Amino acid sequence: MFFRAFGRYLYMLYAFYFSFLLILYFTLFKDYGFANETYTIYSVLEGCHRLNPLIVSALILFYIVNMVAVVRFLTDLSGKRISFSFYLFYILTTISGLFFYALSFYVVYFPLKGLIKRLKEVSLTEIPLVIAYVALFVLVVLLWKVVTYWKIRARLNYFTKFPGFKFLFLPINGLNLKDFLKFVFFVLIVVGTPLFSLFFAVLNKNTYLLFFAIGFSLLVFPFAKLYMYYLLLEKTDV
Amino acid sequence: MKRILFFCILLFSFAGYSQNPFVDRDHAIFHPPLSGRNVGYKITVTLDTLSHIVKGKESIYWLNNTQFSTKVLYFHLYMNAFKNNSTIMMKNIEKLRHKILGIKLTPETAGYCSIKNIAVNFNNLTDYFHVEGTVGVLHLPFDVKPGESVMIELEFETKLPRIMIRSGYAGSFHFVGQWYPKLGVFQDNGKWYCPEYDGNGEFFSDFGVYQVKLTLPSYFIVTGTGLVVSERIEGDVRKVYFYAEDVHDFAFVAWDKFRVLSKKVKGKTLYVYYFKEHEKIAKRELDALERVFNWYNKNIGEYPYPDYKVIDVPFNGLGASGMEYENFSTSFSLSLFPDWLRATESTVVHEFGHAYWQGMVATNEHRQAWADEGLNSFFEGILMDRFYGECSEMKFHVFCENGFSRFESPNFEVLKYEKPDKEASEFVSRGSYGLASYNKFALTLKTIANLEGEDVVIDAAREFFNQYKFKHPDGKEFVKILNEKTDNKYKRLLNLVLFDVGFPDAKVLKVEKKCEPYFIGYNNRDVFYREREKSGKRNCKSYFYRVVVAKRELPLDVNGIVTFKSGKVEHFIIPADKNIIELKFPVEKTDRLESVYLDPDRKIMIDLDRSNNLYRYKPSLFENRLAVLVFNMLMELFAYVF
Repeated sequence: MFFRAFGRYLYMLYAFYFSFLLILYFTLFKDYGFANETYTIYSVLEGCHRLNPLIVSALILFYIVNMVAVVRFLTDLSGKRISFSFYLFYILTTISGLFFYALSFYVVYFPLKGLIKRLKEVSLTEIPLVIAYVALFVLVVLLWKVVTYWKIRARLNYFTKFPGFKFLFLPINGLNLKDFLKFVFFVLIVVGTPLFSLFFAVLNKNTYLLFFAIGFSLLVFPFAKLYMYYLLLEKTDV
Repeated sequence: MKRILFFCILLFSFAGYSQNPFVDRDHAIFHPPLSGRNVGYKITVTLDTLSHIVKGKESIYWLNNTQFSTKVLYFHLYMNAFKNNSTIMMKNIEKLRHKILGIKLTPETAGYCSIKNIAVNFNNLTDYFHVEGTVGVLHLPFDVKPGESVMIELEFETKLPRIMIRSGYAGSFHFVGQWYPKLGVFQDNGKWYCPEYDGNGEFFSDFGVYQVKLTLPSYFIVTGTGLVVSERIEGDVRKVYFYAEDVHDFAFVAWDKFRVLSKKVKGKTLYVYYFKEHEKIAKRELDALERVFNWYNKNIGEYPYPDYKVIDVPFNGLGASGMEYENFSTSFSLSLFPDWLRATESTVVHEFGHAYWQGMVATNEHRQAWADEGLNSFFEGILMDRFYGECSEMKFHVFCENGFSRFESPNFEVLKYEKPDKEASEFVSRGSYGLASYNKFALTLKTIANLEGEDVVIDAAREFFNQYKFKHPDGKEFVKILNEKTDNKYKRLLNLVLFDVGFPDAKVLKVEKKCEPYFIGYNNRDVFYREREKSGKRNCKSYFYRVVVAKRELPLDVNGIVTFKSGKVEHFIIPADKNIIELKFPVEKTDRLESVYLDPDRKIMIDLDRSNNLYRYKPSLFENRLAVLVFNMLMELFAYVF
């Protein structure tokens, strides 16, 4: 069931990502151009900096493609007919998700803000401050995972039960700790692997590692996204 | 009556020994004096480590050694820069104070320096003294004529600010710099030099003698400029007597957590004052200090003072790090700095250099910061490479090429409008002040060193030191010596770079493949028209690449290299006296130009825009792949978040 529905949308995502990156690649790879004399941290940043103007438009494009793929995949999988309200709900969960991301950040940041200020005042070494920042980062990441998990579960709940525009009255799913931890582990592997590869590729100017990171992110990201929805759908009481 | 008698005895005593009344005969360091010593300070103060107030009395001896009379005295009251958030200093360091250090300006964190009363030659002139910002002006009822001296006595109170920049307190750590009312400099042109303390510029003052008697809690350990002549504990207070000769400033540091590392080198003692958590880093600092101390002594000139100290600053006082004072400096170090990250060592190397450039060769740091900061940055660059190998500041070459990598900036644009040779307060930002004063001159000197050999610049610096130590030379004197050593080859470049808004840049302007058509004959209408074959296709006799290369404000020969796919390599030079040249390189039809590279050996480091030096086929594959990957991951992550 999964692979039958899965393949079509995976191809769709792959086709989009590949074509997008190819355009990007050939835009950057002109026949001639000025090049950096030496490989430094500036040249690494400069390459990324050149793509800045594309960020907003690319983001909208990526969002729409992802939304279409996810919504159609889920409706196919649960045997529902596609409805405009699915898209609307998807967008609404995105907006409410953003609100909760911001909220959760401030919930963690405010108590730590005083501590960080105090540490800057009294700490003889930077270590306590670094620990405070790491704690802030870990807590924010964890809370964001909770928000994302909730967002996905809310979408699945809505799609499977399809209550029309009465979705606002649906009870929010509780947090199943085991499922949540699996989800966190899954995301860490999928995001962490290319990130670490990228870090070491930059340090050692290792092209193979860079190719691995590109390949991994390109192949695994779309797969992981759909598979995550599938796994959690199985847990949802249809 | 007693005071007048004391004054007369003082005058007689120093007439026989030295002109300066504050020379302590029992503890004199230099015979004969190394400098003019036209000022002397005798300060007796108490440091209250709870209120962070330094309070006491100060006697200043000043000899007018110019050809001009003056009826006014100017004083620096530096700590008034931290009085409120409307001072120029506070506006300049707003980002540092508020955003980076997170310090709120309150009565407790603010600072000030106030003079309670002031007398000159025993005339109380407090009513004639007024303060404007960080400058105090005293109008005298009499002229101080050339060759005359005055004795100024005053009572003052300085509240140290929370450390934001350079001095102040952080917990019990007290960095006491720029703390006492200090005379400006009465210059040879008959004008006082006593600018507002604005954060950009640093310091300039006369050489003299300092006697400082300090009282502070007994459990504090203290060090500073000069020698500790005596130190004793009386009850719960510690009384320390500092004595310094031939220095132009006095600063001290007090902390109850200091530990001390020391080493005797060539008869002088090198110290590192550190705290428990920085034990390992302190060893690195002492090692760097020993290396740079030995190098300067051997190659530039003898360090005459009995000792030198490096102060390891705690994290909460980081605003005081990386600053030079007489006989000591502060380092920049963090506990998590790994061995390969040599920011700590480079700070020690840089700040020790200031013992020579500005410490002894006392150029005006506020008026010509390039003369000490630029020269010193050059030495920092070459010394870090010599001591720790190329790319010494970082282990990973991805982050640097050599000791000068940190002076290269991807964006020197502001230097098209900011010349280095001007008052520090005239720069629009701390950033442009830094690029103009540190980077630009350091890269100019590195260029000359690359083309002529490092020894030429070192020789010039040695001569500059020997001629002008314990004097106030104009930075132009160094340029003059350097021009003499290089037969004026770099005179135009130095003038453009330092005294104008010169922005040297070499650039590949155009690269195009052209075809040389066959000559068929003339047509009837246009006698110079080369006819083509009737088929309409271009029929080329031969092919060539047309390359246009140019340079601006760079009066040096610039080498270039052109490479082709076939392996052919062509060399060319843009002569010093030309700004633009056109080059033609005949090629086979199938051959392709791979790259045009100006200054491929990277010798002309003063080329301030290096992004247009290398023009090539398929540039920087790795960087582009990387950009694609980062962009892709960013999009994926955003899509995931949304």
